[in-house]
Amino acid sequence: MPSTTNRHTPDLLDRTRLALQDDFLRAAVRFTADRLRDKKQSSTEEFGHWEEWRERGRAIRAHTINHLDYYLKQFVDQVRQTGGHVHFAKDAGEAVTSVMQIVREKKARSVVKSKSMVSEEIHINEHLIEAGIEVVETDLGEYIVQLAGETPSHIIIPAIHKTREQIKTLFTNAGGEHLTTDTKVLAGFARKTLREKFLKADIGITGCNFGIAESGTVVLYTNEGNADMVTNLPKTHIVLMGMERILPSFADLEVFANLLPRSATGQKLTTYMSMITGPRRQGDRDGAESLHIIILDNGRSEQLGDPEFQDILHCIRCGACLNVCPVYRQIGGHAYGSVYPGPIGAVLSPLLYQGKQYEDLPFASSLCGACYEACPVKIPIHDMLVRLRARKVRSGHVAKAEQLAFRGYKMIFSHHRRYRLAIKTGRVLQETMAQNGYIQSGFGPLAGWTESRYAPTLKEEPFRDKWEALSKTLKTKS
Amino acid sequence: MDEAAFLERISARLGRSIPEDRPPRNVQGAPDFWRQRSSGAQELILRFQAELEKLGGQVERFEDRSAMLAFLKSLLKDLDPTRIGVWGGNFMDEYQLEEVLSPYEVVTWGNQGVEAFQAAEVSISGCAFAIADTGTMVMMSSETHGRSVAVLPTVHIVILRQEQIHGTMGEVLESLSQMGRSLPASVHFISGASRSSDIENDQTIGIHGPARIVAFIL
Repeated sequence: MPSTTNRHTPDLLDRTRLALQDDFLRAAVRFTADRLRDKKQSSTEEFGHWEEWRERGRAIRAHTINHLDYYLKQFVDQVRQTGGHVHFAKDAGEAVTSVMQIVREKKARSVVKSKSMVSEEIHINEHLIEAGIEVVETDLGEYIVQLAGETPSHIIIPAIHKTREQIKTLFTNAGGEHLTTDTKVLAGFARKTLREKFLKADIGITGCNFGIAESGTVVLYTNEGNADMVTNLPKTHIVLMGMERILPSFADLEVFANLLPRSATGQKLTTYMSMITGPRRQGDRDGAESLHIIILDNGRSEQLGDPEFQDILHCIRCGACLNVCPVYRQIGGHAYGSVYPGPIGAVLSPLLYQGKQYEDLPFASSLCGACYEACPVKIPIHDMLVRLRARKVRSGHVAKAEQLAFRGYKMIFSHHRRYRLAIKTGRVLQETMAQNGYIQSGFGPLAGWTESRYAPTLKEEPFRDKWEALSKTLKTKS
Repeated sequence: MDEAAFLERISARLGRSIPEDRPPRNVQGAPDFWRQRSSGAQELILRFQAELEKLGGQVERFEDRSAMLAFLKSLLKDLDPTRIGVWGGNFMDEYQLEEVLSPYEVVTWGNQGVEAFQAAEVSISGCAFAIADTGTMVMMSSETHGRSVAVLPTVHIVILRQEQIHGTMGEVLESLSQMGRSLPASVHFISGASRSSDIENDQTIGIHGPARIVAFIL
């Protein structure tokens, strides 16, 4: 059964309905999210002192972002001293221009990529393909998603929504012969195919998990080793990096090497942690000869200095908030319709792209706060979701009926006489609809609620009427 | 966008001009309780072994070089590779590998590169550091220690001396920090074999890098 969820369906509710109809997708997302969540839980318990580590992580990220100008400059100076090139991009368009310029200079015809959310953010694949360049995603999950012509549905497990049957079909169409649905067979096909792509590629593109300011080092985490192929084999290496991805020193990296893998996959450490400091040295026989680091703003600097949202730049893109989110678990990543899904996406997308496009996303949340509890750097995501909802209301992009409803709500609830009258009226009206203490199908504004669950009825005797008797009993007891 | 404008925008948003001096810090690196841990040499070896084995790695400890060479000889007989890729420089001499490797075609990094190592089924190298906490081995690139030695072949054998094993990653990172400009272009931390769970969460080993990691501790 193919996934019917499409990020390009314009409306959040429509995308959500599509996702909810896709039983395989929902089961797969829940299974993986639970597995990652449980592994995280047990690995952090085994590690111990988790709250102390989280607080350490928060403090280091807060310090870095508060002094981002200093540390970013230090990072850039160090990269140049090792012989690397640095480009600055204020938005996606400028980042694409920088990449395409390097591609032209190198007369490149093929590009291999390892997983990078920033590359998704600037849609670099589309631009490269348009220019006639072959682009190959080399993370197994990303490769599967690319062959399917889709986008990732999870930050860490991009092909979370694909069955092995679907993968076998995709690989067969990509030239695989006599494939079965056995994981080893499918992985073997990918290894062989991608190995050839690595060896002939002109340019490797990676993201950047952390940039170490003191040395100009780019740090990458993978389990498959594809980032190493991408950085070792092609002659040119392009790093796409969000401007906030800096850590001041190697000492700080130890904290994040403990926080990131545990939060992402429940591993103590990913199989590979690779540090690239400048291009290959004289005499080296592998590694890129030229290294280009493209540093992207794209709405990030707008959050600096904003006391409500600056902390969103602390995010280390681990995906832990997705795995615990009751909404993400039901609808999966594509329903968010943005590059970044889940709670972090519901905050980041409307912040990076202001305007109407993503302003509905903060409503795809139950405000339960599980995201905050899971976050390894303690970003108060749930508070930000509420603030973004308020921002939407202030912007006036709210339906007339909703505005009226809330004006009425404010009017009724702000005075006790009006409140009592409304409740009394409600108690009379509900008699036609109530059954066994619940309203099963309502009309008007109530229908929105009763469409998917029962509404409890108003009690016969309201608390306000009970209070007089209650307070007397309490007084005699004390 | 030019650099100055980019950085000035950040400073402006933070409400100041770019600071010239290093910002003062109260908090840096791992918590104190973590840094104060210490372990004896024997404990480190056991922890390294246990952690790497948990990741599916194989660990063999040897009293001396001749025991190691005898084991290597029988391991290679089982693996039956046609070509073996080895670190260049004096690595072969240091561990007197020549005789054990003589039945096989041997390529050494520096004399040869990627093309030759792409066809090697087995590689043998040393490492710069090992980390007990995570079962990690750290490779540093140089003219004779190519990055691809640890990534291209299907089986990677690492010879390490027990004094190279540190307790935490922090100790290794401190050494890197002290290297300053002599830090190599690639520092590569390896914890177990290449793996992926991208197909229906079913873990598979050897997706891009080696499918088998063997550590020899001397």
